[in-house]
Amino acid sequence: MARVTIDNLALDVPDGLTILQAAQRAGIAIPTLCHHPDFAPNTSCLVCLVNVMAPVPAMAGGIAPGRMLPACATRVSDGMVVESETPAVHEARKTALELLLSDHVGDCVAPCARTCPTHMEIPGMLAAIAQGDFIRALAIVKHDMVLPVTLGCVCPAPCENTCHRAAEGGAIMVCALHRWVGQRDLVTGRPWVPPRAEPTGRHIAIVGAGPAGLSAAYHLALLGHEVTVFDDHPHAGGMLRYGTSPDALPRPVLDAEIGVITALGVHWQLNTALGRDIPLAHLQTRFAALILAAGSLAPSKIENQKSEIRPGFPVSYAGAILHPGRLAVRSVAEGKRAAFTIHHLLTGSRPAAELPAFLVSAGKRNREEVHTLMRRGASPIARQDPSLRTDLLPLDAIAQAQRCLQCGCAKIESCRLRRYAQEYGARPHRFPGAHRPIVEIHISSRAALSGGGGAGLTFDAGKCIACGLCLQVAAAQGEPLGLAWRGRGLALRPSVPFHKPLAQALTHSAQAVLEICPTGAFTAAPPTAQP
Amino acid sequence: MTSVDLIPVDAIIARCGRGPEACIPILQAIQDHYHYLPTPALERVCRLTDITPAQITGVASFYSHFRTRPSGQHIIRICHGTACHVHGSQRVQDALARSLQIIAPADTSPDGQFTLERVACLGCCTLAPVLQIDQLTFGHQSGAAVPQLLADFAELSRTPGSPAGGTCMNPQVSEGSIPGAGVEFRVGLGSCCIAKGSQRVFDAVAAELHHLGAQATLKRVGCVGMCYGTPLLEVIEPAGRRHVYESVTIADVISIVRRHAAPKRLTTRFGLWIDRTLDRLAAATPAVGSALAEQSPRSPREWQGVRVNPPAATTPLMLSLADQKSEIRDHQFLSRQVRIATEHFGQLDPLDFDEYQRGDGLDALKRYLAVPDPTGLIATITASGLRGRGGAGFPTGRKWELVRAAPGTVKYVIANGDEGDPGAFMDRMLLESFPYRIIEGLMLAALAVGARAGFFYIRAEYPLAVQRIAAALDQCRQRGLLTQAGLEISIRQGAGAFVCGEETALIASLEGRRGTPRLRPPFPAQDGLWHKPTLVNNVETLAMVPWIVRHGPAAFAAYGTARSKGTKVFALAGKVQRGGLIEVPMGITLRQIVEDLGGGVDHPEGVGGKEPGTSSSASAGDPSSSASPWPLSGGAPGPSFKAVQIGGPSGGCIPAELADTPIDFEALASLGAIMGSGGLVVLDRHDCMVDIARYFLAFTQDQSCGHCTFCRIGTRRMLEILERLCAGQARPPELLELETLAHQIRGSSLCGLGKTAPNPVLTTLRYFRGEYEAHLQGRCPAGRCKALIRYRITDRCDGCTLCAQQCPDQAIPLTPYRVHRIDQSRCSRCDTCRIICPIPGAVVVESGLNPEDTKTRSRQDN
Ligand SMILES: Cc1cc2nc3c(=O)[nH]c(=O)nc-3n(C[C@H](O)[C@H](O)[C@H](O)COP(=O)(O)O)c2cc1C
Ligand code: SF4
Ligand code: SF4
Ligand code: FES
Ligand code: FES
Ligand code: FES
Repeated sequence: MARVTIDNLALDVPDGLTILQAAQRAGIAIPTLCHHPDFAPNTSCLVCLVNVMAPVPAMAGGIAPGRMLPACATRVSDGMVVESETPAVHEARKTALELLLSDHVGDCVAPCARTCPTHMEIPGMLAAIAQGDFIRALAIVKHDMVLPVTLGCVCPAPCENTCHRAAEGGAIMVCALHRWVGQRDLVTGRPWVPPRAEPTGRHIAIVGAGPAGLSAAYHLALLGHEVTVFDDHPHAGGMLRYGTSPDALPRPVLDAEIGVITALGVHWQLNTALGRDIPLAHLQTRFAALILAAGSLAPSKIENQKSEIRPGFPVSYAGAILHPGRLAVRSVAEGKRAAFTIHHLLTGSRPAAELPAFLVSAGKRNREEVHTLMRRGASPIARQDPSLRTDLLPLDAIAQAQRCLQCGCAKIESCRLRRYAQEYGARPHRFPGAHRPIVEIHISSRAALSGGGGAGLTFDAGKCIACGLCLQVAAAQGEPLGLAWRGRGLALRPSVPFHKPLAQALTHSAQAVLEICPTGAFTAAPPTAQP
Repeated sequence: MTSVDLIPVDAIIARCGRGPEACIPILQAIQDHYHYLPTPALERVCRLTDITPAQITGVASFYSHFRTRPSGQHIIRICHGTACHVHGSQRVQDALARSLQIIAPADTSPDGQFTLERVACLGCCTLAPVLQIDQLTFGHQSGAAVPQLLADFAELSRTPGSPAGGTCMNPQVSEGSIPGAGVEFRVGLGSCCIAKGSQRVFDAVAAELHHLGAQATLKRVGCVGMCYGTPLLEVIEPAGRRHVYESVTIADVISIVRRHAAPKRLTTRFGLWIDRTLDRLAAATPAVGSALAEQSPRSPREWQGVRVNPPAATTPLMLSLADQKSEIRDHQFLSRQVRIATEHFGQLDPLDFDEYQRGDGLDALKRYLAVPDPTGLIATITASGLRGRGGAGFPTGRKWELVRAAPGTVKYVIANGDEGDPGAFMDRMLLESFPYRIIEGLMLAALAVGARAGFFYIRAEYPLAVQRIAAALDQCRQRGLLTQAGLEISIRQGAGAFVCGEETALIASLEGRRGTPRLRPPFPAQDGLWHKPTLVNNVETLAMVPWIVRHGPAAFAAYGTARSKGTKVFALAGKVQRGGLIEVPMGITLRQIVEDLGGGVDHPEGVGGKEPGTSSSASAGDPSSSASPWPLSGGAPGPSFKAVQIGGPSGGCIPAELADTPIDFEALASLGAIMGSGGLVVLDRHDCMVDIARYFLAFTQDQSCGHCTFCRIGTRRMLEILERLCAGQARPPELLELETLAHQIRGSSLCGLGKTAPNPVLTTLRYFRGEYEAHLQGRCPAGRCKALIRYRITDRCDGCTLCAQQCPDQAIPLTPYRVHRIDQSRCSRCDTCRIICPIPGAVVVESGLNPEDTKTRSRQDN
């Protein structure tokens, strides 16, 4: 037995245990990336660093007092004092993460989805369209975005400005496609109404039926709240109705999409002006919370009435009150955010965040990289002339959606690099001007993954942290070819010996490799992928 | 690919074995045969041996000697070691690439004739800049000399063995000494000396002796250490009088030999007398000696009026001890030295077993073979205070004790001869000159720890060392010495990976794996080669052992400081007059080494008038106006130096102000440097400290095994900041980031390579921060960083047109008899014009960023 102190906690643990194992017994979490209990420690990532003090064992120069050592491989010795949760240790772990991130090329979230203020899951929508599953595409769109057709008519499509595919054949027609998906639904005459959550019994007032108010109403209704929208105009729609030309935005489209909100059970109280017809104080007695999304009300007017708001009463602001811009999609996004804030204030539970708090972005992809990424199965055709976009045929829509590179990371939920980076507050751009690794992609369509629907495996070297786990698991599973290290220094990456295809390297261990890889380097290939 | 003939592979496997540990030797043999590693050959290896595809792919791509593409007909290896770097190796590389039309990333000329490779150090640092074409080594190169170099090489390859220009050598090493009686001629034949033509001197002496039919002994000896004066020819008259001739050329040999060796036949004698008289008359000089001086072709070769690669320090021809100046000089060089590891330097034929044994060689070993007493032996070493010379200075006796005490009956000993530090060549010299002594040391270590098998791990760049150790081991084997000790010793060669000098990486390499270090503990003493207790000692450490046993620990401990005992061998190179190999007692100061032994910087101000000085008119570049704590700012005259780089890429730069620090493990560490293996590179005021830091980071990051995050990525990020500094593109906060990151890498890397990699940066930041700040402002006070300097021709130009003719970028219009001008937009700062210009001060280097330039540069970068 050895007596070890970890963060002032004295433990008696058997000799031969690693610090990591000892800490786990005591319930102290130490981050690890390159370590797996089934295998010998790789000691490559060094995010498990701890500060080890005393005693100096057999060889001086070995452990000097106060040395940063990897917890996953350092064995305990009697009298050892270990620090895990100190600023110095955190700084070291954070630096390790920042260094790994500086050599990491990838987009946690596709740039289009990141840029679109609603953060609609664009690649998912495109994948559904590409597979001809227009119902799923619609569900994805409506999950994040109220009024997809309306926005499809008026939005300048900032998402398309960041599309990586712009480097080859033009950006994906994201805007036209979500409009097309919505339009297909509207023309049935009975547009699809997404399911509502269990009623919460709370009633919320929204002032303003413009894009922000409509969006807030939609999302609150979806979350199970009772909603009433006040507006001093005779019709809902705000600037969408009173600030656009019917040529650009045909009114029947707007009416039909507002109809979906009505179908969700939202009450309208139109021709009602705040202050004139209904005082703020009154709203506070009748409703559980308030969203001020009255875009055209000058902020100063709101300012005047602010004093009337009871301290502690849940109020949120959205739309033009916050910013004077005229970008409808931005107001829509703010309406959604205000809805989520109110929901959180009232229920204490947070709707799934739209974007994770920590993201890395690949920055601008050059043409060569886009060509590499296209090998994951994107169609080589070019973007269709936008003037044809109103009458996209289903086959055109599918073909256009098939151009998508699927830029986001398939492992965003499980990636441990991202998780720790978020936890430790790592700055992905601590090192400006860092050398960018060469993007290299290997795909195996034959190395079937269990439960992957026959999907193959993709290896994206740009996201590899050179932890070595994939080599270990392939070797342990007795792969005849397996994976090998190639190169040294910064170029170090796993590779298939003799430049053979990935499918030959991993004849039966593809699933295990996919699961053990801590990052998005090994992911399931998109179904369309070609080896 | 299918056309590759695979039959030789089977023979290679039969020769090297089938176990995983045979991987590196097999790959080396395959590459020897095919000049690269053809994939079908590797696949065949996997079919026929226990080596897996993963292992062979990993190993083949780890070591830099292995090529996956066929190379050109000839391989040019350009040394980028520290000494060569400070002497402008990059300019030589650029000039070669340009004249061979090799455009990166290609490394082979379009005609398939030449492949360019970078090497870390060729171990001939005193001849810097050095390069090798196939087996031929060329020293003292420069960009301007490249056409001549290629012409020389073409000529040499046409007529192999013919005597060529003064700086090229043929590496065919003579079989051994030619015994005889009477006068003894000794020629030092280390790699360095051979590169400077000693072998040809040796051959010429042999030929002349043969021609004369004289009674004389011709002896090959190891390195004398006076690398600055090679080729060295020492003559010992039967009466015991010694004459040392320095920088001897073939032309000198005949006269020297005739002067000392009496021909047997009278007729020959008479003929010679006539020759001599005629010589004398022709030269119209009274003495043979001076006549030689006059005839000597050492004066710079004339070619189109251009001086082609003159040796860095043109020493006056020294003829005998009668030459006062040289005598004093050599006395200064030699007198402070204490010879323990290099005992009997310049006297022993490296491979003469009997001679070694006749002296006191093997006495120590025989004592313990006769009466085994491992504890007594370890006690002796412990009492001597010997600490490892491989860098870390771990007490040797203590390490032996740990290995001895480790449980198990199978143990190994390893002599670490991987010496990868650029700018260090002590271990090469010891292996080449004293193979028996190191074998004796290793055998004593084996006896002490109870090992039955030992290994030499030697860098592949040291073929002569490998050859000599192999021959010496054969001798020991034939004489039954190894059997008597119950020991088998074999040799393994590295394959181009600096990190393999680290003991756990070395062990991985011996096991046939990638040279990736692992976390210590456990230390090799507990868990080493094939998981057995293993003793790893540096070659120099082992070379000290026999002496300590013979003279007793107290004699050894009498030298040195309180905690650092005995002597240390250093490779002195860089901007120093007398570069060479020295062994000095610990406690001597750096200043004593550089100034007393080394004679100060090699181009003191004003000598030769060929200083790349910054122009006095350029106020921005005037070092005296910069804030850097330059000992030489303002260009103080006299032989002084700016800093000493000690310890190579793990060490640091110690400024001249602190040069009175004694050599001692702890004292050096307190300055932020380390003793390291013993490279000492002297830097003068033309060396930019930011550039030096950048140079070392480029080295370590290139040599990083890539295993751990801090070293793999961190050193690269540091290098990127340093590159931006040298390009004048860094922003002030980056200096802080550089320092922060340096501390983090030092504290958190897995192995010694990463932990010490920041040292060159941290020491230069500590002592030369002003220079870093100057770079932030777009100035390089030393006039070294290409992006921050401009070449300018002053009014002193007399319009000789040489620069215009030689400028490889056609940046200088030809204007005979008028002052020339440099077109800055074309100038690539190759330094050719400055070297070629015959007029002192006509071409000057100005510091300061040209705003025009940076704009275009950053635009191109985007
Ligand atoms: C990056 C690195 C390179 C090294 N290179 C060498 C080397 O070339 N030769 C050497 O003897 N020791 C080298 N060492 C030190 C060895 O790891 C080891 O400490 C040494 O061989 C032990 O011998 P000693 O106790 O006699 O010094 C190196 C260490 C590191 C971290
Ligand atoms: S290619 Fe697809 S996922 Fe990538 S940015 Fe464009 S639309 Fe989004
Ligand atoms: S690809 Fe392999 S080495 Fe790279 S992060 Fe994933 S498991 Fe680790
Ligand atoms: S988990 Fe310990 S070093 Fe990576
Ligand atoms: S030979 Fe070039 S630095 Fe050593
Ligand atoms: S020719 Fe005039 S300075 Fe070079």
